[in-house]
Amino acid sequence: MGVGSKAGPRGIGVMFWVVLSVVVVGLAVMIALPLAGR
Amino acid sequence: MRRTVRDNGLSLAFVGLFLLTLVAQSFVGQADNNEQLLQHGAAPVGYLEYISSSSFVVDVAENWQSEFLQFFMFILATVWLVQRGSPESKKPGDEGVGTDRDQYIGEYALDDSPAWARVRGAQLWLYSNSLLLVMGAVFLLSWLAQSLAGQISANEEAALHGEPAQTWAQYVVSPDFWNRTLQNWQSEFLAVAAMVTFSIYLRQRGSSESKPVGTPHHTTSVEAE
Repeated sequence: MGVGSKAGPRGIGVMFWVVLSVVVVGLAVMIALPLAGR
Repeated sequence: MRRTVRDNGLSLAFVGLFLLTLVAQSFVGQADNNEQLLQHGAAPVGYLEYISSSSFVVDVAENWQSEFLQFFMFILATVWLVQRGSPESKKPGDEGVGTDRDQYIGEYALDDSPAWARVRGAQLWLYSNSLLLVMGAVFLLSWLAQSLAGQISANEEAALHGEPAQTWAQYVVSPDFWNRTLQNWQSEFLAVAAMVTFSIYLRQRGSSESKPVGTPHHTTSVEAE
């Protein structure tokens, strides 16, 4: 997709992926737990 | 390493604050949950059991959905609506999605523009709206999580009172679901209205969220640049 691929100063793209991962994992857990009847 | 930390200070600080407050919420949430269980003569639950329960998930998800809705609405509204004098707004007359030249799209792309800003068609449309789409998707998915966890949590509480369980379809039109939802939405919308209007007249020296201190009230930060 190219997001962060030309980030200029190094390391900017890392935080994009860190925060996106936190959000995606958080959503997956919050949907999976009630679906599993917890 | 030092430079990487400095370049990412804002995001690192808020990810750190998120993790700290989420952990704090989990401990006080467990204590609160156990108080209610004991009041009903039920056995308290352990920490791991609590953080993997719908009682914890619904409290986290109801706040997630409202925060992402807030940003979704703010991003969408600032395309078409302006507030004269606010650094959060484009200047009056600039409403709309802007020209290709303004947006550095296609032949107007800069040397270091993202690759997807150079192409046309669906790919460009997707990239041009990617921030709104992602915020909207996270809002909808966390609202879904709130509804799923809220149903289980409400049914557990109903069982303590000897009341019948609700289906998901019954729960999403219930007062509990909409009370949890609207109590978060109202505060988010007021906070946006406050930020947009307070920043016309009030300043925070050094903040990118404020106009420079000496900027006239009627001037937006976009005009001042």
